[in-house]
Parts: sequence; C-alpha cells; structure tokens
Amino acid sequence: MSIADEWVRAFARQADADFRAWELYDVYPEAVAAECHRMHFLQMACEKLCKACVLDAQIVTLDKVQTSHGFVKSQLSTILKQELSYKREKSAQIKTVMQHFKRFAQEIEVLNPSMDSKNRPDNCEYPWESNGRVLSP
Amino acid sequence: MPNLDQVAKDDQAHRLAQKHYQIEEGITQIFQIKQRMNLDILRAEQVMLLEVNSNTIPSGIMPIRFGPNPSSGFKYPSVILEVTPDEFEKIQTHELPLPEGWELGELIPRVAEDLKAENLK
Repeated sequence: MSIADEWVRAFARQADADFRAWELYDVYPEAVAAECHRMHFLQMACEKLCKACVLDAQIVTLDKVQTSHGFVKSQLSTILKQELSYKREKSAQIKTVMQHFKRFAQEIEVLNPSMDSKNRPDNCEYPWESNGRVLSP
Repeated sequence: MPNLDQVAKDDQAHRLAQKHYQIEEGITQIFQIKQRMNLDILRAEQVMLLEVNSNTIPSGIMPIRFGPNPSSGFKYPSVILEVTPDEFEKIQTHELPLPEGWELGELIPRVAEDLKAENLK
C-alpha cells in the first residue's frame, strides 16, 4: 500500500472512530456531558470522511486537506449521492432525501467554529458573542 | 475488436450517470472524464465523471473517489468531480484547468425514459 493510500485509510479510520463516539452518546445518553460534544463528534466524523474521499482521488494535496476546512458542505452530499446510487429505492423518495440532506450538510459544516463565523458564529466548540451576550455551545 | 474492459467501464459510467441524474435534480450535464495516461494500473481502471450541478457550491477542482461496489453492479471505483455551471464554463475556457492528463470525454445525456417519467409526475 502506498503512503497516499495509507493516509486515506487513516482519515477513514479516524472518521469511523469519531462516528462511533457520536453513536455511543445515543446508547449511553447519561454519559453526555453536553450536547455540543455529540455534535462535535458528528462534525469531526463528517469532515474526516470527506477528507478521506478527497485524498483518495489524489488531486488535492495532503497539505491542503490537513490545513483546510469547508469540505463537508461541498462533498458530503456527493458521498450520499453515491451511496444512494447503490440502493433500489424509488427516485422520488431519494430526491427528497437529497434535498433535505444538503441543508443538513450545511448545518454540520458550520458546527466547525472556523466556518462562516461572521454569519454563523454558533458552533459546537467555542463561545461566541451575539446581541451583546456571550454564549457557549 | 472492442476492448471489453473499456466497454464495461463505459457501461458503468452510463449507469452511474443515470442514477445521479435521478437522485440529484440540480445536475444538468454529466461528462465522462478521460485520462490520457495513468501509470498506476489500479487507478487506470476507474470510472470518472464530471457533473455540472446547479445545486452545488463552488469548490474548484475537488474530485472524490469511491471504491467499487460489486454487489450493486459497480465493479470499478468511481471518481466524481462536481462543479457549478460557472465553474464548468471556466473549465471549458481553461480558466479553471482540469488536472494534468484529464480531459472531458463524451456527454452522457439523461435518458429519455427518465424525462418521460418526470413529465408524468
């Protein structure tokens, strides 16, 4: 396996680890210290999943993937589209899922505090100021 | 004598394109992408599509790759590059260049049956 492929798998494994942590909060809700932590794991899982798929195409460099954000809104829907291509459900139902999912992907992206902090300061990690008040996730 | 592998890949490209047209209503055009040369044999055996999607956001040239899914009839890995209509115009004028060795192949039109089914809704 090449180093490039190892990076892809490493990102995918980490996405899986983050996703499993998110799932555990459903299984053990009493362990949830704060809802923001669940959202944080969801955001991290989605971001790393998108990064793994981007890296696998071997066009965007590892450096750019490691230092950039903003992959979820643009790529998560494409990942879902591909997965839905493997299903046999009727297209009308699937189209509805896709329409709603794009909005969902957008919301997951802004959970990251570095994304659109001007218009969407609310995030899952750091406090922000709104209408003269300081709020925390 | 047709190259059977190429025929199979073209068939997968067409089937996948139709699926994507059905799933994502913002897609206006899907093109096959041809690679002039790929020294990596595994990556030479992949289906590559460029999809013009009015519902996507501009993100430049950022393709993503998926492994094969033989149980669903997709024997080859897939590479999908989604672009906005503006980005597609820039690709055509080379203002936004495709990666080295990539070139736009044939347009895969949405099949007529799909359009007919949509008109009946």
